[in-house]
Amino acid sequence: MKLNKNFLVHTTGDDTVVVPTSDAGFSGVVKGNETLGAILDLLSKDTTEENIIESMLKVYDAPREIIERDVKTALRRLKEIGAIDE
Amino acid sequence: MNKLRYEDYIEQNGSLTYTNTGVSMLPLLRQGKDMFIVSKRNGKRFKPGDVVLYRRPPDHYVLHRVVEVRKDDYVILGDNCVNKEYGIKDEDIIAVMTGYIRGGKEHTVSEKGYRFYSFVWLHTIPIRIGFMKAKIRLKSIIKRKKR
Repeated sequence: MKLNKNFLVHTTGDDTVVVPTSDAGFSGVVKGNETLGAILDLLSKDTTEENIIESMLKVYDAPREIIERDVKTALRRLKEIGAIDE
Repeated sequence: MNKLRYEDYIEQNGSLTYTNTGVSMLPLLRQGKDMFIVSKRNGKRFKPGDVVLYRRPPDHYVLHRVVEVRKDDYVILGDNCVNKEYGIKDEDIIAVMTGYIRGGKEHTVSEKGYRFYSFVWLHTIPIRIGFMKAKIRLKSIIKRKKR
């Protein structure tokens, strides 16, 4: 899976926003924290949910179940708006 | 997922980072590549050169530049547009552009480079409009001759 090219990502301070370009079938803003930013960064290259979880575990000092929950939630939100190419 | 109008989002968050549609703000904002940051208005009147986000009823949102301030309204023009828009009132304007993201880098409108661009754009309007109109006319003549 990979971030769809019709979505742009910008991080300012602790906030990360995902916004659609005019070619995306979605109009709105997804706003998130540093975790969303890290997930989106990993999605800039073709990857898998498992790879994202493993990469996040290396960076964040948090239990696996918390990381898994955050990654799944973020991916679900991004899939809902068509921001992920499977 | 909660759906908010842009004005509600800006009211709640203070600012909005978004992308533009179309070519009306070229060369500043390139569709599909650049983003703009607009912030909640502070109640003061805008000045020439300010780029504002306003609502064109019923639900069309436009980001263009103020080129003239009049007693009761503003005259507004996109950086790549030929036709000015008259009669935009303070209450139509939702937010003002405070920055933009180009090539992944965030810039503010107070930066020297942007202020220079804005000054030049604002003070060359008649020349640019004349040039763009001539270009449009030339294209239409060429098209007619090809038929």
